Amino acid sequence: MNKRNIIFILLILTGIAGFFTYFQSLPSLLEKKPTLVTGKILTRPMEIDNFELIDQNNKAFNNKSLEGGWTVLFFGYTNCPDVCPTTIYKLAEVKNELKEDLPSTTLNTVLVTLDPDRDSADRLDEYIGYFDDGMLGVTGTYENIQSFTSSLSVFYQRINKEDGYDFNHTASIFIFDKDGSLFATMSPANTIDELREDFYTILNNF
Amino acid sequence: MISFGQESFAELELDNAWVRSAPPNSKIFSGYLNIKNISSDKILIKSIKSNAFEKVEIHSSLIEDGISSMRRLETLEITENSELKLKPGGYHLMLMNPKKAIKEKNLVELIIYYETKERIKILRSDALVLRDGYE
Repeated sequence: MNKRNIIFILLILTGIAGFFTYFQSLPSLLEKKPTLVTGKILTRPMEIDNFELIDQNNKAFNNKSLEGGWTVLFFGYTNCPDVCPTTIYKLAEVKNELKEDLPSTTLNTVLVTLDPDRDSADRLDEYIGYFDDGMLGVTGTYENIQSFTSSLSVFYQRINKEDGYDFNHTASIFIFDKDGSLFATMSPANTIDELREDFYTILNNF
Repeated sequence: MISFGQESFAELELDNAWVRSAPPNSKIFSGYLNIKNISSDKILIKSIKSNAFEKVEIHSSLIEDGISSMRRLETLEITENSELKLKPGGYHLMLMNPKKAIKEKNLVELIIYYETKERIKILRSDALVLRDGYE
């Protein structure tokens, strides 16, 4: 075999090796973001407008409050006897499991009321303290709640009844990343197993 | 799975009745139970009352197009040989204005008025007051 042939064979081998390397890395090049069962991860985390609300301890709840850990936030009101406590319990259970499995991850849960007339900080303290004292209950002026909901495209509508009123409102659970940007949305209508799976998908991959 | 408030009558079997407790000063509570129609005719629940609340309504929580809402139902129909489960996030009882303090682990009475082919009948069930539970 002459020198030229050896070089030729080496070139072919290098080509084949290169080809294999390329195809091996191809799946990871094509790989997409993980997807959620109950909702959606935003293509790009979205910064949200400045907001000023207060929590059940009369402490400020604003953009800074979302930073440092993951935040799970949903809207409701304390006169909602069925769906709100149910969502609180589902989230509390997932949060407790995550605390054991991923102790270094901080996951804060927040209920923002749509009913500031009835839900004062004191009322939220009583309500949240009863169902999950590890959670934040947030209220504010009517205008501040409205501007916060509109920055998240949350719809809500007061429905008057014979005795009192209820709200129809956007059901989504909002997930904020450690920078306080909106990262994903989920639906509370799903089972606790599906919600758990989605939280693990997010916290294990990002 | 909790199993409480079992009652049966000619047509209906009630099971797993519970009321979700709420913090002091709450005016509105929710209640759940399984209602099995063991007869071969459909049955209409006409109204529900309770010894512990001034008013009881039948409601349905639903999420439609991403919007969460509650709807009041006048009656509840249970087809023959079938079971209807009132559970968190779906059909439930809305219990309003407690007549006395509703305490965890206590019992409250639910009185169910239902219509068969012949007449209106009454069935009672104890419901256990519980704080947690989501299924």
